[in-house]
Amino acid sequence: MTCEATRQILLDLGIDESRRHDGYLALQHLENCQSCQIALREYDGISKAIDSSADVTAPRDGWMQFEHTLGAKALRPEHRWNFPRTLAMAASLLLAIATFEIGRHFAVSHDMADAVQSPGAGFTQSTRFAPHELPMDVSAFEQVSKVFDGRASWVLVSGDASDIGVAPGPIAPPRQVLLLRLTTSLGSQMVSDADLMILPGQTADLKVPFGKGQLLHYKIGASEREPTRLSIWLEVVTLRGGEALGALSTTLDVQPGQKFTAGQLVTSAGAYQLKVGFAQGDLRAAHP
Amino acid sequence: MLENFRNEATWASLLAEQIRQNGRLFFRLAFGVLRDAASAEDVCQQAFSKAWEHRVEIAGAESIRGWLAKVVINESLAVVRCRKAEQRALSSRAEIDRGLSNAPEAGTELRESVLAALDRLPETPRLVVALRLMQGISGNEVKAILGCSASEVSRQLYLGMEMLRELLADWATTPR
Repeated sequence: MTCEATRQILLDLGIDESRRHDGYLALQHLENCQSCQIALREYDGISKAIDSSADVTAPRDGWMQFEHTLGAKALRPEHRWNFPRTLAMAASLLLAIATFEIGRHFAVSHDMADAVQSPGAGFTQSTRFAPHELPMDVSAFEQVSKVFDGRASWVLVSGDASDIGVAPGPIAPPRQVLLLRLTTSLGSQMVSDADLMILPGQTADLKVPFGKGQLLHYKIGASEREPTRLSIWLEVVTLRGGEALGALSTTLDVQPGQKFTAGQLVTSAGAYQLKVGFAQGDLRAAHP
Repeated sequence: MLENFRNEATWASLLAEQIRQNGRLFFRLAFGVLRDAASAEDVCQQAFSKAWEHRVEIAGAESIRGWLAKVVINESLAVVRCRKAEQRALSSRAEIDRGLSNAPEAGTELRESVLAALDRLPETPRLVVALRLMQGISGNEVKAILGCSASEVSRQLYLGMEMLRELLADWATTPR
């Protein structure tokens, strides 16, 4: 019996009843083969180091709630621009008006590849939301949401790309919309900023181009039961080829009016820092 | 358009079935790598979102369980990679600031090394090692998840372990 056959059998005796009779031969080989003895000791060390079957705890709110939440999200995925062209155009127009009202002369595009514009155009705001900005962002969300019969789950407004997430079915009328100002900098230079308006319980998958041929890919989830709990995942990828250069992932409890650093993302080009300004706005007529 | 809706409805029920049948398995897999319930929940969430996004590319209903397991493992390892990078950045800054080095415990260090090595394995052996050794899932169950033969699972486990040994050679030869 060869070393390879011996190790396969001893690694996986439990898998195939028909191979059990080989166990005896494998043990015989093992007794006389020092290299296999070393290999098995190392297999054992590796297994022990990563064996976590005994440590697993239940999800934070229990299995039932975990499955329920997973189902609610998986079966209510975001649809982006999967709508008749006229509806998409109407939403684009509204977004353009909304961004203008917000004070950013942003262009709107649903095609990320075409959305790269002069980086940094219109970046004048601080990370924190000023009181006068809240009604404008809330109003932008309400207007866009109306176009989609209250199914808009999030709206992104930025100088480099604006986008909307629309749920396939109706969303329970929310009272509030969460406002996040996402500011990413490389060293002391800001490379991208964007305002995200998102409903509690929704997840936004955003792609914002920046620089020359790069993309910030955010996945931001807002908890339904705890609207101040945010999960943030950010990846820097190349526009062409989609190669991931680095990523960060975090879950945060935040307070309205707060500005915080979500984390640092280290790439060969340097360390990107993501700062997030957070606010909550009351909705009035977004969901009829 | 109607066909599209029909496909989406089929996919929605497929995913609902996966949640019922394998939601816990996916959580355990993610938790095994991350050791953190909140992050494990997020990873499962991402895996299901991805399954929806990539529904056209996933070959068929029978392969969805293996596909989801693969995404859960890969996403979990990506989080570990990211945490590690953050940790490195923070500790090097702390070292500069305070002239201190916070060396991790030997057990944690070994686990991190094995996870980093696991991250470098080709997809199939990575998945087999994670399922068999991290969660102690039986070979027959792995066979069912991956939809391949028992001998293929054996072979992939062997390949994975040999690659891990090679990648961890430095650790193995260093006295602890």
